[in-house]
Amino acid sequence: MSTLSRVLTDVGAVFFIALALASVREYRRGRGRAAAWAAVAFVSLGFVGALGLLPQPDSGVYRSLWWQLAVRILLAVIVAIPYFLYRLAATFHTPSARMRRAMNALTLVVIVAGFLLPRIPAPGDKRPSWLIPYAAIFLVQWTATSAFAAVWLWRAGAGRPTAPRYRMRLLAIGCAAFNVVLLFSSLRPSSNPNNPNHVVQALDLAVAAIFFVGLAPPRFLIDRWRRPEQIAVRAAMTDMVGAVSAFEVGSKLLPHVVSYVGAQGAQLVDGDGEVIASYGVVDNSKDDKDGGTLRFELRSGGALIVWSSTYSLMFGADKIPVLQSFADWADLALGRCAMIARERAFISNAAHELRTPLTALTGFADLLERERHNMAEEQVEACLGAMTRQGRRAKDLVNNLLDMAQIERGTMRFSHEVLQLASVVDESIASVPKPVGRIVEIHVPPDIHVRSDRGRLQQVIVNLVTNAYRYGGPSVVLDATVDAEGDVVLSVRDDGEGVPVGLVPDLFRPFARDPAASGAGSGLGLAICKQITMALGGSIVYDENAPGARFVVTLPEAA
Amino acid sequence: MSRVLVVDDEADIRLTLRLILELAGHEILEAADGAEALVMVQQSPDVVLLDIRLPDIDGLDVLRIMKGDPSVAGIPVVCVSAHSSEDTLRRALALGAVAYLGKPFDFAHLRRVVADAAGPADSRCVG
Repeated sequence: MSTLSRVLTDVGAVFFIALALASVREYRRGRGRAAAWAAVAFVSLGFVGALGLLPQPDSGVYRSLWWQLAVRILLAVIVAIPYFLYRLAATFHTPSARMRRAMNALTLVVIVAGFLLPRIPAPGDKRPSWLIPYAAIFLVQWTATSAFAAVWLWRAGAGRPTAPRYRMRLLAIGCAAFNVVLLFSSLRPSSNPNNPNHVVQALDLAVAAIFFVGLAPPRFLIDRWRRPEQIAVRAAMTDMVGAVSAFEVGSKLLPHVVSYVGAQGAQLVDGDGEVIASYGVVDNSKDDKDGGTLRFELRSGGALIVWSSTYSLMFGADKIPVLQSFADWADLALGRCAMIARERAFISNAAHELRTPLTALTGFADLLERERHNMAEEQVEACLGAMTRQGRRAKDLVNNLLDMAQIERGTMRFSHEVLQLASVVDESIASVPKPVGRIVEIHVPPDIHVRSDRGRLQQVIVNLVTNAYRYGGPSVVLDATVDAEGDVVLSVRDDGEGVPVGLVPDLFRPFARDPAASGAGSGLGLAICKQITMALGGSIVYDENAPGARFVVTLPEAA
Repeated sequence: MSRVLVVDDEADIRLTLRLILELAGHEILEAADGAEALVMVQQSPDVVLLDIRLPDIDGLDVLRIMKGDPSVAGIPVVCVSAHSSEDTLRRALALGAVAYLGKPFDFAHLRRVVADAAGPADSRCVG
């Protein structure tokens, strides 16, 4: 054998072995039926290619029984290779039952015929006439299975993202070229095994290279192919971060998720499992036997769910980690949307709360301006009294809003001085006008001291007592103790009906208010109490088990 | 002049409406919630000024119940709300309200709307 032939044979064998190893690696990475058929096909091809590295046997060996058997097994493997490639393509496009039966039967017939041949001639021997029909059905089987594989791999690439499209088309070209090599070598067989056809060898190398690039393209090539999608993904991320609603986040994200990994569909769900947005086919009813569901949890409790396909498992496996970063971005964008929704609701609620006193104030002012001369003195007095009440209500609301804004910005300043709790409670009670018929009991021992801010602590107590006057029964009781941990526990309770059960979870949120309760409350009082007690190093809770309404404030005791 | 039923849970809003309309010559009935409103409409007022946000029954539900009761279905209802969203307005009109006033309301506009609603029975838009 010439040096060129030896080099071509050896390099070809190395290429085919590398191809086999790459196919096994792809299968281990992505699993799935398509990757399995690819691995079987290319491992078989690698096996046949590796035989090229073996030295040529002596001519006597060709007639031995074991050699005859080994050659028939080798022929069976060679026949099976395009069949395996056909099965790979069939995972992307299911052939008709008739086509499946024909391909299976044809392949089986050629394999069985190989074992029934009387004797395989040695290289250089005269070809017997009975070999011609075998060679004919061999070529038919190879051409039919390779052609199917080439056509359907090519077609399956259409509409896919750039990188998988190129990869599928390279595999398709590889299948077609593989068949051309076989036809070429059949038409121009080498008569001398020591002088193989260089053109066939070179074509073999080219086929191996095409398959290799299709199956395991080098990093730089993948990066180049993916550039358009990466640009689109960056644009989508920018878009998504600018979204102001959860649906907008989903509708901007999901098409990119689907196209980036070539999935069937994707869905974004919230923490309660409710669908925020869907794109593509989001159930497994589609005829795609290898399609699985990939789920990426969001820190906010929801999830990004992707319905993968045969194709995405084989060609998108390395992109699956990218989906986690999509989910992370979605998390950020959803968090931002939730914050925007809270702010909008806050502004809307604040505006609504201001409208009631403004309606009364402007109504009374208009009335006095236009009708004063027609009004009785008591009507004027009623107007002025209502204007004072509503003016105070508007002022309180604005003060509360400013407090909330200061607390949220972190600009509210708190002092931490040693205070006698009893004196703070007395001052607080004295500052709230007591409605007629109400009884207030105070059980705060004079020796309890807290480290706190006098003004802010008074604000908390005034809020709780005002609520008790507004919504409670005739009796309001304030008591304080020091618990086992050394914290001061101050409780404010009334003998009213208590907070409705449905309201309790949201009680300390801004504008949470019993819809059945009318009154002048802004809906911010308890939210402010919570923020202030937290800032003072304590806490406030609602005691659901107590009769009436009981709020418990815990504060650090002054050492 | 007409008898106007003012339905609002805020006492000072009821007082404003009472004074504005009384000085225009109307007689005023008051209800502080939906249940009371449904009782008071049995006194056959000429117009109902109905707040949408009520503590017990939603104002739109009060309107729906009224329109389902043949004895009071013909009474013109003017809805009043601080939630003057397009959707609420559409729903109120679809349920048979003759007009919709957003808070805070204009003094003269309020009197005109009530006068129009309480006008000749054959020109009322009810349904």
